[in-house]
Amino acid sequence: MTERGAEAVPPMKSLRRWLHADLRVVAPFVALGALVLLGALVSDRFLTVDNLVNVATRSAFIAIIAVGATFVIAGGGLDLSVGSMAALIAGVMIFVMNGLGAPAPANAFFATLSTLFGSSPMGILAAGILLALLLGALCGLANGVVTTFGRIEPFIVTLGTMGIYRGLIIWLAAGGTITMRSVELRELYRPVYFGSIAGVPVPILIFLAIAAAGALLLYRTPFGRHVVALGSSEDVARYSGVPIARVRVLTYVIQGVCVALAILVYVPRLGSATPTTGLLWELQAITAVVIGGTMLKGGTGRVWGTIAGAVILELVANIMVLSDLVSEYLVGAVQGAIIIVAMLVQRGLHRRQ
Amino acid sequence: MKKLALSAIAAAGVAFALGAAQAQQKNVTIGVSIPAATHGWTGGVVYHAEEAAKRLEKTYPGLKVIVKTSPSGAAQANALEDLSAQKIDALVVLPFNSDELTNPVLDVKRRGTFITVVDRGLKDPTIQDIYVAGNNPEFGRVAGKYFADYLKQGNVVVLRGIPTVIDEERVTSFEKALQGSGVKILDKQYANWTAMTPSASCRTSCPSTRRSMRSGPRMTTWRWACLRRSVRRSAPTSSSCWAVPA
Repeated sequence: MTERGAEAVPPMKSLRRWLHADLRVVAPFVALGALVLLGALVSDRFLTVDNLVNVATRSAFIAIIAVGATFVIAGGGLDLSVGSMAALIAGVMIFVMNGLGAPAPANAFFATLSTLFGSSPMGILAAGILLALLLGALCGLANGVVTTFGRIEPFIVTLGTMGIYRGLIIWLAAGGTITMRSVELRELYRPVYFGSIAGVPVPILIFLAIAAAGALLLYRTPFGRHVVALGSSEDVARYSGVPIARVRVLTYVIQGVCVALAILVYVPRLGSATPTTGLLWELQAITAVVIGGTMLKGGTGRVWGTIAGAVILELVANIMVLSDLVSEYLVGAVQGAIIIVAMLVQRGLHRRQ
Repeated sequence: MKKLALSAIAAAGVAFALGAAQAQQKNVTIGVSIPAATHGWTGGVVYHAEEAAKRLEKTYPGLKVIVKTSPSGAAQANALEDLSAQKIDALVVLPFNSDELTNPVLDVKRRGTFITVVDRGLKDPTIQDIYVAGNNPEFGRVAGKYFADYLKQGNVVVLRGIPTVIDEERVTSFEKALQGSGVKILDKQYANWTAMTPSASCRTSCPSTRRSMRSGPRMTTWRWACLRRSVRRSAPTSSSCWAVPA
């Protein structure tokens, strides 16, 4: 969105450039608008404030994760482990908060945390949030370090960690559920998903803030430029003095932190982690990124497009539920078809340029 | 149990429709949120809920029943929001699991909706206006007594269902009924009430079972005894399953 140069060019050429550059940037928003129109046509309940707010609120999880995925993909990487990572972070976060809420600390770890954060609900919540963010960064760091220094394809590395993170949460939950036990804590944490400020639900505010921060980082800082340079051509970036290893690892760390942020919004909603938490989120996050106009082979990153992509995915599901055109059991199939169509459109627009 | 779910929807429906229809021709909407058909029993619930919805809508003009099925707890939370957006007056909910759905149902409740909870239950029973369920502690007790009487001596593996209030009730009273008998529980695992997980999880992921399977001639032949919600043996698609060394 902010990639248009302001340098002086002949009027005709500038207009043509504007049209071309804009088509690809604007495409996801055009699709979003078209979907809203379609929704309004097929169901009279679609254009109610309640419904639209629901859809936007619900897309928060995928939108936040997909902002991180934009960095990884723009830098020429891929992270398949985000869904499992989300489940693991949710599980550990709840597990720790339950442990801190217990009358007596179970072991030295909880005892230390207890003295650090106190045993008030607020302190316990703060400990849980900090730990979630830390774990997210660590999970991302593991992906990044193995990919970068092990020189293994990110597809393979994150496929492996996807299994590892998922296995850990199933083990931690003993095949069952990890649930927030304290009712007091649930009530305290609840507004983060269910609350609203000035009529706008908190999750929407959070994902807009994260997207704004992501856009700032990607478009306006040297680091963002390095990510895009790395994704365009690793060799050129290396010869240009871009610290390749550090930039690549950092994109995965950003992804991990984004997953943790999504979980901070997710936990107050369902209050528990199960072996099926975050299942197929990686597919949705990557789809959102690709719909948003980021090239899967790296070299471009469009944060706002990604947000549009995440909302599009939820809108499609919502329209299918509200209308009787197509069975809602086919939501997954339609979302899968969308990623392929988005790629075809992207390819077409690319060729025209 | 099918009758139970059916009658829950009917009860909530009738309570509302009668009150409304008799006062005046008022429009009432009831939302019904149930798990998708992941096994035979839920298949029955879905079928009968849809049939009951049709019948009630025919009987009470002005009544609208929206039935939504969801394949997971998170999906059901979405479905509850969608139902709320359609301005439902009453909700009949069979929660996918107790832990995850407690907050979302509480959210619907706080909008002033009349809540009927069926079968699986919520963590916080104060949310529901009506709770319809079978006598789950008794299911567990009868099953435990059957094993104690039938086996006298032996090892048992419990393949429980989805972590829910009723699963806990059944397993707790099953264990209690076995106390003092010669039947020992080797392990308990969640099999999630699906047709696939019971055998897979018992054969592969339960080391103590495998050990005992190999340990002696008495333990080599196994029979899978699966219990429906009563003691009758039936297809392994129904509720909790127990593997019994024969």
